[in-house]
Amino acid sequence: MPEKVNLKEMTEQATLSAGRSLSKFTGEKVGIEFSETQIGKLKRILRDVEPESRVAGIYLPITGEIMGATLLILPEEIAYILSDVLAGREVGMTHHLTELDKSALKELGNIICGSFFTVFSNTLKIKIIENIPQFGFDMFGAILDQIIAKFALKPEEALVIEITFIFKKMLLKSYIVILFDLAEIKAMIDAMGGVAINE
Amino acid sequence: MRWGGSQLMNKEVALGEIIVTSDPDNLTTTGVGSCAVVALYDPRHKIGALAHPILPGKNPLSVDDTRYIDMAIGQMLKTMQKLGARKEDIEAKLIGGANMFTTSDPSEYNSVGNQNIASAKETLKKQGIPIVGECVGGSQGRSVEFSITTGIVTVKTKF
Repeated sequence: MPEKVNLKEMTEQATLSAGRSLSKFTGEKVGIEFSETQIGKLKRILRDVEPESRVAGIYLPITGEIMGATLLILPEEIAYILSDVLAGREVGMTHHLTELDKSALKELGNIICGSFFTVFSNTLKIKIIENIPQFGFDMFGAILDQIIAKFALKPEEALVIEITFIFKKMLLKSYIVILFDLAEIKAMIDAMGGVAINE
Repeated sequence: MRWGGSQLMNKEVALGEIIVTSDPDNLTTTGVGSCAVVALYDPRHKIGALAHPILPGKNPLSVDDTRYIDMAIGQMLKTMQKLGARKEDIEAKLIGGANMFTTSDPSEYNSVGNQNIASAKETLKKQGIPIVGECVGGSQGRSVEFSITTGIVTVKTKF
C-alpha cells in the first residue's frame, strides 16, 4: 500500500530547504516558516490582501510531466526589506526597486519555488522543469488577474502556502501560490494513497 | 447601502462576471490586469453594463459563460435591451489588456492582454457597437469606476 502524501511534511521540508539556500545566498541567517497551507479558490484564500495594495509577484511557469506555475507574492514593504537583505544593504534603505533589485527578487523566487519543486518532484515522483521567472510589481488584484486568466480554463483552484521570512527578529508574511493542473496532480496523489493536509 | 433611494451604490463586478443596471449606481471593478473590461452604455436611457471577462472568444461548451468576452458582451446587450436600451444607442469603452510581468521570454505572456483586447474589439464590431473610449495595454494594473448616472468611466492606476 503506498504511503499517504503529507502536504504539511512536504511544505516543512521545502521551507527548511529554502531557508538554508537563502541563508547561503545572502550570507545572513534567514529563516522561513510556513503557517498555513490551503487548497481552494485563489480570491477566497487571499481575501485578506487588499486588491489595490502593491505587491511584487515572481511568476515561474512549470513544464515537464505536469503543467503549472508558482507565484511568490511579497507585499511592497516586504519586497523592499528582502531587497535590502539580498543586496547586503541596511534594512530600511530601499523605497524603490532598481532593475538589480528586481533581478535579485526573481532569484529569490527561483530559490524558494525551486525548493518546493524539488520536494514535490521527489515525493510525487514526477519530472518538473522550471522556466524563466517573470516579475511584476503593481496592484495585487491585477497581478492575480493575469494568473487567473492564464489558468482560467482549468479549475480556479490553487495551493496557497502562507510563509514567514524571519530575519533579525522581523517576521515578514508572504504567500506562495502553486497552480498545477489539479486534475492531473489529484490523480497522482490518489495513486499514492491520498493527500493529508496539515495532519 | 442605499439610503432613502438617493445615495449612490457601488457595485463591484467580480472576475468573470457582468452587472447590468438602470439604477443610478457606480459599477466598479478593481485590480484589472490582462483582462479586458468592457463598459456598455445607452446614454439616452441611462442603462449601463460592466463586464470583467477573463478569456477571449466564447466557450464552446456553454452558451452563457460570462468569463468569455464574446459571451459577456452578448449577455450584456441582451439584458440591456430587456431593460429598455436600444442597441443603436449603445456605445462601448474598453479598459485593461495589460501585461503585468516583465520577462526575457516574450512568447510566454505578452500576448494574453493583446488577445483579450482584440477579441473584445472584434465582438463589438460584429455587434455594431462603437468604441468611444479606451485605456488599454501597457504594464499597469487598473481599477475602474463607471457612473450609470453620467456614463463617465474613471480609470485609476496607482503606481
